[in-house]
Amino acid sequence: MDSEGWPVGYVEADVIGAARSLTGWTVDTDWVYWEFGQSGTFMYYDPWHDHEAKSFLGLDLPADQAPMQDGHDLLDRLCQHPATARHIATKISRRLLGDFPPQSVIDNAAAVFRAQHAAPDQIARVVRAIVLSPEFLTTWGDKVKRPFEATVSSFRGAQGDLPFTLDDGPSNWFYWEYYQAGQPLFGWHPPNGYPDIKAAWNSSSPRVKNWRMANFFVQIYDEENERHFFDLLGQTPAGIRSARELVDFWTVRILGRPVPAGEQQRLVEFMAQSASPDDDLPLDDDWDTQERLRAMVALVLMSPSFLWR
Amino acid sequence: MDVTRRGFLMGCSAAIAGLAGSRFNTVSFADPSLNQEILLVLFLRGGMDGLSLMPPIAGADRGFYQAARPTLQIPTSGPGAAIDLDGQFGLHPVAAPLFDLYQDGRLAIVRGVGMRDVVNKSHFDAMQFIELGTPGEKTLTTGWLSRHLSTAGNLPADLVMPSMAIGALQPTSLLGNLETVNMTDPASFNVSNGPWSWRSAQKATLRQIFEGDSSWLHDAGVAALDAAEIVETNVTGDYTPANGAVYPESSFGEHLRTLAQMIKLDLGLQVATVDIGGWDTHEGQGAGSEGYLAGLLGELAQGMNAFYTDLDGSGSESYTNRLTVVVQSEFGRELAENANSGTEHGYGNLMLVMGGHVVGGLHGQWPGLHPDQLVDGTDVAVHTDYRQVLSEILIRRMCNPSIDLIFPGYSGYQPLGIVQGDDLPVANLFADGFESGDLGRWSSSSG
Repeated sequence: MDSEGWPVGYVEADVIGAARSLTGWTVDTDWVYWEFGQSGTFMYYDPWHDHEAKSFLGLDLPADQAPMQDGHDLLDRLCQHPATARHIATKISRRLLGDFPPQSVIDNAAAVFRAQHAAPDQIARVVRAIVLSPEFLTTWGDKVKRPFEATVSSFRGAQGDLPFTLDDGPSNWFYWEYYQAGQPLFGWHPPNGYPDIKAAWNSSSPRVKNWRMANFFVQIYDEENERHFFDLLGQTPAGIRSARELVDFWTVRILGRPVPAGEQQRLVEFMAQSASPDDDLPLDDDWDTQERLRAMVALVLMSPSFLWR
Repeated sequence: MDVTRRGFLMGCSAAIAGLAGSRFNTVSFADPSLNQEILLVLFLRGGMDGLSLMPPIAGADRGFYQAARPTLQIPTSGPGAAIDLDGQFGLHPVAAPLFDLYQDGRLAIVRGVGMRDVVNKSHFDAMQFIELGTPGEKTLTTGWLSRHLSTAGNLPADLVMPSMAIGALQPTSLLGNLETVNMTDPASFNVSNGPWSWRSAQKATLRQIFEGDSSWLHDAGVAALDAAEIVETNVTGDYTPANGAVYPESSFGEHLRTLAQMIKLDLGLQVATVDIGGWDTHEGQGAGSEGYLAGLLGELAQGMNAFYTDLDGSGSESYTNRLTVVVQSEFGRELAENANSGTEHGYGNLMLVMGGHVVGGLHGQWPGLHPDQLVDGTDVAVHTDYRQVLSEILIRRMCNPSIDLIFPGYSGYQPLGIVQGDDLPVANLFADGFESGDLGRWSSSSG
């Protein structure tokens, strides 16, 4: 027990108590039980609930509570446990600050988490406590986007639109590459979640696969509607035609800010090729120039400026 | 160790295409003072049931085993019987491909092994402890293989690809090592999928952008580009395993096959990791030669045998002569089966060591299955620390005696005689002015 009377750890009996409290909590699918429906949503099935008395982390649950009450009591107990506050405060701090956030920030966030455990905006308050810390102001660039974030960022930044469907060529290609990037959706089997330290995502496979996905995004073509899913041409204003203008437009569009001078220089050189950076390029009628624009935008989606978080 | 991947790419780009004709080892491995060994660490994620892979087949322990596993026991006679190893222990029948290696003296089995000082039944904690190389401690930011690579003073100076993790993510054992190439599929490990007419120019610009500045992100980007270029340049066409080796048709089989292919490119591969998951058999693990666990064990055995067969040969093609494969899991499983025809997380387990310089046979003191010999009355005990096994491989095969840096806090190393090689004096750090086992040298952790 700690000074507040909380058990400092858990034992097998707590695991069993928790499992019993959650009996009857299931999914509405006939894969689980033939009498169930097919909605795939959460459901509580009282005949499967263990109605006997149970205990969990020092909390005694009487027999025959109202439906789902055992489970709610269990979750409430967990939410109020100091270890939960420390755990969640550490995870959020690590995400927002860096791999090794200062203990003072974690402690403060954990205190807010506990003090506000009944507040409807509890997590927002915890985030606010971290973001308003002086340490947050002095931390930048200690994280890399994970494959999922890079994907979402790409779609958001370049206004992409790919309707993922089963057994569709582009969707399958994307899934395979994305799988190899190391962060497939719902693909992390241990219940501790994908790692959130930069070393885990800074290796060659996630990087190469993210780069390949950038190239994929700018090229995927919607055969049915005869358009690119990432309509780069359509989004480029008519007055923006020189290499420099195109690079400036697309970097600011995707990143919300210009890239460092060195990166910008390289992108402009690539976009201009033999033309002068300030000459208008034949973007409207030359396929090769259009392809070069796609390759350039892909480079923005591959760049350190984009991958940094 | 000086990794000259960049120099290799810049200086030898014209020669890359002809690499198959002038193997790297003919140049760089000519110096016998340099270590040319290849270490593969194969991790069985989930807690492999060692009592199914190698059950007792005689004596009092057989009685305890049969009583505790009324439905899951491997029989000693009839169909699906264990393969007799020494009259006392047998191999699971589906592990026959391992028995071939065992009979050839290429396979060592270490019993009663695990984390000697720490009992931890959480998959994540146990794996992290084992792979960081510091049971009970999580403060280091480098894995034990990373520290081996950074302390090995005897590697050729011109390694192109010293370490490789087959898998989408780098394992904890190689944490912090930027030179490690991790990938699953060489055929799609490249950045050559941009708009067709601008592919080369785009790749060149990508390289310029990442080389244009320096940070952990830029440096990793350049390393990834180099790795992709090496793989794309060297891995061409279909790969045909040598000596009729047949890999299992699974991602594990594919991964071993890819690794054998990479080893044969002679790019100086020293350390590799491959994972195979699915060992957490809480329910329905299957009895005898049927069922789930038998399938997994069969896949493991066939894969290891295929890998060894594929790399076997003579002269400069004899990769097995330089190869050591070590197989481990985060913990064993309880002696008794549970009510769901499965087994719960246990403690002591087996380690397998396979290679051309292995001392084949059974090693390590068997802790016994008498109730008084079990830990908490349920688990096989640990008499041999896993670091003892790994240290012996590091010293005798990799010729790296920096055990105090690779496994800080570990002391009392003695060889078990699992592999052949010289017993170098275990280094201490006083020459460098560091306290032996000082974690701080290897950690940038403030938390």
